[in-house]
Amino acid sequence: MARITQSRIVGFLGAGLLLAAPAMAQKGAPPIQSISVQPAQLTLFDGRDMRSVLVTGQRTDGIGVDLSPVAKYKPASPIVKIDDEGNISPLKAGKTTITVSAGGKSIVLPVEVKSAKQPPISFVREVMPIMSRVGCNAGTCHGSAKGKNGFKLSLRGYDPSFDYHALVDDIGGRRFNRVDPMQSLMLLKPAGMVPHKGGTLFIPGTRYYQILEAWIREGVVNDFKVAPKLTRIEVLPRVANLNLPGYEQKTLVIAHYADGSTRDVTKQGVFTSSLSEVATASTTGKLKAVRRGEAALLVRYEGNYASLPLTVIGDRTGYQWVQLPRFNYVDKFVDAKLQKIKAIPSPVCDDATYLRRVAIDLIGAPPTPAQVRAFVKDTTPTTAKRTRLVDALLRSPEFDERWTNKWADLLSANSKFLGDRGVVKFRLWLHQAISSNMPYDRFVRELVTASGDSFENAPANFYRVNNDTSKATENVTQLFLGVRFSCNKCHDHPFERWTQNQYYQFGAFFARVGHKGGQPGSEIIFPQESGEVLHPKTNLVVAPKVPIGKMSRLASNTDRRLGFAEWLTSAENPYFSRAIVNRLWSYFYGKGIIDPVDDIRAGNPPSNPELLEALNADFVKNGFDLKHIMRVMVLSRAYQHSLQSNRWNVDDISNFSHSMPRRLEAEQLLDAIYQATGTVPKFEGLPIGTKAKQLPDAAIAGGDTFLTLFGRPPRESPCECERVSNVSLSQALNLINGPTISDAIANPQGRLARFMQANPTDERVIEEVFLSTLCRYPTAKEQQNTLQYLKKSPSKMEGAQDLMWALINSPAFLFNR
Amino acid sequence: MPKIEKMHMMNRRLFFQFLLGSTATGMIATAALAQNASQTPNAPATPAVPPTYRVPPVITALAYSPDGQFLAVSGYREVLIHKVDGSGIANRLLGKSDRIESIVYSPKGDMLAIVGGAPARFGEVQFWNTSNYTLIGATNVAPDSLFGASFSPDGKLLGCGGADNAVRIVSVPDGKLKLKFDNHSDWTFATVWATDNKHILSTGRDRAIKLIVAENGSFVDDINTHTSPYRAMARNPKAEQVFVGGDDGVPRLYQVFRSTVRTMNQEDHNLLREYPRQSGQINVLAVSSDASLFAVAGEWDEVSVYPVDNGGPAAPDKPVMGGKPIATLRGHKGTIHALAFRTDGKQIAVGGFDGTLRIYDLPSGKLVSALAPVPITKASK
Repeated sequence: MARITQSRIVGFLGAGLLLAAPAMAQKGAPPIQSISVQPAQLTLFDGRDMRSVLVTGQRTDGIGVDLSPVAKYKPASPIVKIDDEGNISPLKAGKTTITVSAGGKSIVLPVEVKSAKQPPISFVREVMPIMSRVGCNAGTCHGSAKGKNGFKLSLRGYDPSFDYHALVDDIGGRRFNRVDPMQSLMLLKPAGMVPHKGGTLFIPGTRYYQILEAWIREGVVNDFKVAPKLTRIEVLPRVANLNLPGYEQKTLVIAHYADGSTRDVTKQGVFTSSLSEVATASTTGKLKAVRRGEAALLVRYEGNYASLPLTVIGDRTGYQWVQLPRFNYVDKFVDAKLQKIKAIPSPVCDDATYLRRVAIDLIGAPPTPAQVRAFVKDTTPTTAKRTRLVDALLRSPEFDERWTNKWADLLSANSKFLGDRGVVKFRLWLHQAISSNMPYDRFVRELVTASGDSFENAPANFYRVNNDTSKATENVTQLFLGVRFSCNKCHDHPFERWTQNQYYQFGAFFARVGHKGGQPGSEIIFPQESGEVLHPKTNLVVAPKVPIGKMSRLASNTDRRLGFAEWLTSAENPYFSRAIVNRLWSYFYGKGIIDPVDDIRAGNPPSNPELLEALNADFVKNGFDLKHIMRVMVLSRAYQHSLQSNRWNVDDISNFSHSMPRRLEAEQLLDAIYQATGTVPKFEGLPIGTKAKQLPDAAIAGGDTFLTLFGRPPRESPCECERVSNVSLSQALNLINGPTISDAIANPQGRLARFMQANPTDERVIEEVFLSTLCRYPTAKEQQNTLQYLKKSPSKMEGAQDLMWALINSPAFLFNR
Repeated sequence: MPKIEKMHMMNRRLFFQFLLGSTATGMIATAALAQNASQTPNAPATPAVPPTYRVPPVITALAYSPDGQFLAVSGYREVLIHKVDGSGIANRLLGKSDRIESIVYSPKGDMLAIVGGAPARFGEVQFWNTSNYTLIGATNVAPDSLFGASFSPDGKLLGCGGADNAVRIVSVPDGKLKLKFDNHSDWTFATVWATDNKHILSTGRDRAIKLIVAENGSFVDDINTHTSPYRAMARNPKAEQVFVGGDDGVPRLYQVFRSTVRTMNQEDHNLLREYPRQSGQINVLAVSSDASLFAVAGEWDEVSVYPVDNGGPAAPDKPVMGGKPIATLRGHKGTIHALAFRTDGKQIAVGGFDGTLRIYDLPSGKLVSALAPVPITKASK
């Protein structure tokens, strides 16, 4: 591609046209006013160090374009050579400058060559990355659990020692031949010289081939114990703003090592676009814009991961920012992002919409007709009125029920693990914690350090659910840190930095959690003096160690969990508070700032990192106060945006510029149906009137029921994915034909039956049905249409029932919007 | 990938050069290859120019002649016959196989069998006359390398394993394929014969030690439970027993024929002795001809020599565990692939990754010589 682009450019030059990249060369594109290079200076460490730079042109209209493909380079002295593709390699040690020219501008790039000597080939730094780059160690090839055709490598090269043995020691050294290196099987196979199911990956004469051949010729030296450790990778540019579809952007990947050295590893990097319909990524890391939207370029190099947020702005001719009032700091960050992507938020929704939205979100139930009437009628200024409403909802007992239910889901309060009595005890404790607004850090500490009889100290139930080190490791990381540790149980995490060692080090904190019988049905959790985790590879004891940061005190011998819990819940833990803030945000906005919320990793970057940081800082500053941060979220203007989108935000799905409809959760939906129809739910074995959100156990009303159909979580794991929020055909059939709704509507003690006793007018009937189902007054047009329908109905009752049935089946009822 | 294809075209001319040998060394060996390729079984060996070496190759196979006069050492596309008295190389047996995986002398010592091949291309069996070290015949019998050759006690058949999972039995010396046994589910690395001349045992990465009727390939038994992938097997020359070793690093001794009824519980009924776990995967095992000692080595840099008797009478179902090495042979750098006891049991030859042939006295374990088994030519610039 690079070559084609260049030849086109040469053509332009020949024709005497303006020198420009394709993006610039469009008719009428504004001229370049300045250029810049990244990195701003280069250091080449040895004779095989090859670098290149990004050349960015700033147009007079403020748009940056990638001029790298057309840039020309001229070194001041011949200590480096530069090829046609802009690759800079050393010729001898020294310092010089290179004049970089593009778009009629030029800039000086300082270059230092530390050494031009050819060092021996490094297995770790040169051989292993080639195997990852061409895919030898991919999960579909030799990296699979059983390898391929008798040859196994560690998945994506996480275990260089294993891979060295596989290449050099296995089967009498079958895969290399130092007498005649080119006859080595590890060259013949990828070069397609002998049958290879993986195909031809590189051929003689290419850089990869030459490096492997030289490594064999030099005696297959193993340097994984002495080679400087890779500490991180850096992707340039830091953000990519591609203005229009078709624009391209070159990227660079720089590896940083523990000894302070760096390498340009762009050619060995593995690139993936998170959303290829927004921008594609070539195998060399070049981005190409496809359509307006946001995505991320994910880069992998030798077990290190980095991502580059990218935005394709698209044609925004006529865009002008409209500043809506800001209600709190959330709006500042949301607005800043919207301005960046040239979107305009929807206006604030009306009172009735807000009331229904915030009530469902905070207390899990829509408002009653009386509440709607009162709220709409209230003439207090909007902000003050809504603030008062939110404060009332946060104080209400229903808030406690809703969030107790939520935490019972996440903590798997399931009679399968805890028994019937255990579930009730655990729920009671959760209820107390929520109603007293226990600070989140204390809440988690109480769970993680719990000991004693599970009936007397209910948090101990946490360890009845997480009853082995694997379960505790995987659930604590996913639930409280928002990261997934299940992959690295068997091998280093394929998309993140988590290693297999860290999995077992983490598990060691739970190795001494003892279980013994207590009262009938309970269990006593106690700290034991012994108990270890063994690494499956070495069969050796693994010492407890936290995967990031440091513990403020060492794991005590009496209870390893104490120091661990302090580390887990500390404000310095970069995952703990951010994970819960992001999780809560997703409950109110339908999507996390990082989404999915329990899969935080480099490849899943936040859509608005500044917003997440601000919320996190506020949450920590206010003592991990859950109600406080919820209040901030639901009182922001962003939360109150209308569902109705405009020309400038119609395609926004991740920046909160308009409200996103969310199907009511199973319990919310069932409770809303009972409330709308004025009927009372009956769950076997529980008092009449118990609401779905108050059910203590997933086994109650389980099986093939309404709640199951609408995705109530079975409470088997802490994954948010347990709650299903899709819309399915069987759900639609149940709503249309099922007994739940029709029985409730026709209930002789129900809302309609009672309301009709006073023989109300048709207008009153319509208003009541709208208020009880959609929580708003009907519009004039709705009023008119439904009046006609009622008049045609065999009876007023039948007409009202039909209307209620129709509204319950409408998206305005089924969704929180 | 049009770019690669284009370059492939450009390099097509090089293709055969790569296949047939790429360096000066390789090109010379190609001559031998071309000559050998045209040989039919029983055709006499054609003299060829031996390869030159800039560095010693990895040693993959070693064997002492039964008369104790010669030591056969694997090279690249050849086997070098060293005089045991240290007076040099007696012969260089040039063949077609790039890799020599296994060298065995016939029971009478009149023949030498070499098996190996070129990975992903062919597997070959060569028979050489030891009176003058001429080639009797060489046959390609497999699509990939062959491993772990063993002569039947009467010397009429040769068994070997292979990278295609199969166990093969060929007739001696015409190399005709008599049997291909496909019951293993992974590569087979080792074979040994029972003394009755009728049964052959095979093992490999699928963990099974299979007992087979050599005449018709009837499967008799897996004599072990599937504890570990196995890389090496050696017969106890004085008893119907085999030593095995593999990935889990534990050498084990099994009796060949079952004396207790097999049950569904997969008990390791035939296990007689189990020796201490070694420092890594076992690649090779050897037993002295008087059956008093065995040596074990692999993916670490030492050889452990144990007395076969690790205490107590061995009986099925109650294996004797433990043992102490009488000698630990040091000096190697890297993995060890080949071991051979001299016929009198007083010396042992060791070779592996570092390409140096080391001879140790037994039972002292003293290193008596360390040399490159191939002539080294300095690279000309």
